[in-house]
Amino acid sequence: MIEFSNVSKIYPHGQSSALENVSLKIAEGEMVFLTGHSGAGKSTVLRIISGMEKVTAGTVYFGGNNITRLSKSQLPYYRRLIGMIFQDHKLMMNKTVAENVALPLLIKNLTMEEAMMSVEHALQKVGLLSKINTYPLYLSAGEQQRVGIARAIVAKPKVLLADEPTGNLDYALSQEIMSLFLELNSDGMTVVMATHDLDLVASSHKRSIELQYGKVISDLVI
Amino acid sequence: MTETLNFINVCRGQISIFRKSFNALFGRNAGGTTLTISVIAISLLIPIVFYLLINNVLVLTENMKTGRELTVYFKDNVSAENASEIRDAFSKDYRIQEATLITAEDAMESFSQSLGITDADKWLLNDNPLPNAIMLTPKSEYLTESELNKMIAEIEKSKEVLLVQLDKQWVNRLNSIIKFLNATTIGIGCILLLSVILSITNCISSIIVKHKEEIEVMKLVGATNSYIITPYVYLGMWFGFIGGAIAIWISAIIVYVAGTLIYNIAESYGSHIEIFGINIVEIFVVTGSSALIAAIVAFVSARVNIARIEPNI
Ligand SMILES: Nc1ncnc2c1ncn2[C@@H]1O[C@H](COP(=O)(O)OP(=O)(O)OP(=O)(O)O)[C@@H](O)[C@H]1O
Ligand SMILES: [Mg+2]
Repeated sequence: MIEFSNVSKIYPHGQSSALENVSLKIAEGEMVFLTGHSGAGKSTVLRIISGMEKVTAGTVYFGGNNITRLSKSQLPYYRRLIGMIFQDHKLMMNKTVAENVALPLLIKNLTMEEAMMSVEHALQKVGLLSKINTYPLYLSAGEQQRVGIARAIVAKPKVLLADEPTGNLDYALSQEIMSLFLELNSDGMTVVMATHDLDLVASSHKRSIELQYGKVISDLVI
Repeated sequence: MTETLNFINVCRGQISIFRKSFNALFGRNAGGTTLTISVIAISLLIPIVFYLLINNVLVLTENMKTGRELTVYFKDNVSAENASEIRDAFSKDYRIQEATLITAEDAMESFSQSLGITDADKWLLNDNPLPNAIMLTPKSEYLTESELNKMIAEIEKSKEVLLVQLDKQWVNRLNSIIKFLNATTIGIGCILLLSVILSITNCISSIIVKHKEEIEVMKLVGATNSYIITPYVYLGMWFGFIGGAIAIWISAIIVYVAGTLIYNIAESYGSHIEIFGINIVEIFVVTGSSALIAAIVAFVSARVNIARIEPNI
């Protein structure tokens, strides 16, 4: 599904390389954690997969296609294949839960009415159907994050990328979110998640890639 | 089949974005949008008023445009009696309303009066150098340029006539005033266009800055730039349309007030002047072009600003 081949990344104003000669393969349907200390390069891997950053050297494949040289006009269509989840969830506070979740469908020129079925389905999946007409401001942190997940899955992407999705949550809520990801994965979704939380990784029994100063130092199932 | 459905979908989407962009005029953008629409309205109003002023002057002076009187000067060998006969002939011409004889003596009289020359001085001139002449006032339907030129050519052919002069000095003066007004209107229009462009650009940029996070999210989920830009283009269109409509409305009020005033003044002098405002076609042209220009400016501004926003994690 995703393949890094000798990928290096040096940011324009960076002191050293954020990624150095990274090669890795993530198969379809796999669930993978990216771990490592702060600044190790976890987010950089996700930024490269999502097309936010271009690599300095090496090649990245997505579904067999080389995405290293995507043009600006191709990028939006490529991004529709990916669902993204963030630590700060990036919800639009002046829109309802339904409107937030519907966004990936609305940008494909669907009307709200047409999007509604998929929206309800996604909210059901994350257990928030009852909050469909609420504004995100009135939701708890865990609920906000689940809305973010609903938005990421609503358009049925091939891959979910999550950057510290439990970073702002306490242990119980993290467990809750984690089991949601595991459930999505068992439905067949490919999931790549960057996290600090090694307990979470350990309890999941999934593949974990550890980075250190931009290099892969271990890649195993715990 | 699916393409048709797709097309219908896109159209429906556009209509809903268009409707929503109207709402974007209010709410948290209200301050900026009000200001921008005001700038557009004022910037349009000033050229519209100039335009109406020029056109009203043109219409009011249309039948005076060519000058109203022809002076026919005779050759030296044409006596006052001859001139009088010719005058009688002219007064029977179907095109002529009035023909007045101005003998050399009459002309000398008024000439010397206007210069304050005494009889004694006149005696010094001993010979009257002025020709006999007649003044012709054509009927108003023959006061067009082509009819007058035809008449002049005809009269100049006759062997008694030295030259025919059309009194049009003031016409030239009027024309140069109108030329000046036209140039002023265009000049002011250009400056105002610049201020319109700046205010729309400024307003759109500040709205985009306010929506920066939303735009980032849209880009993250795969919205194309044109999808993100569209609402701003429609917003610009609304700016132009509403600004244009307000300008027309205010110009109508001005025309009504000024028109009534001028009508009353003219009435008290026993004449009849009507001021006209902007017509239906012009209303469409003003609102349409204003909406189009504003939409183009908004498009460029949104494109530049949105290209700068890139999502990050
Ligand atoms: N935009 C940028 N410009 C310059 N350097 C950057 C930029 N983004 C990241 N870096 C650097 O690249 C390296 C890797 O950063 P990255 O964000 O991938 O780390 P991370 O593993 O996600 O860390 P954290 O756990 O703190 O989120 C760091 O040394 C960081 O300082
Ligand atoms: Mg990070």
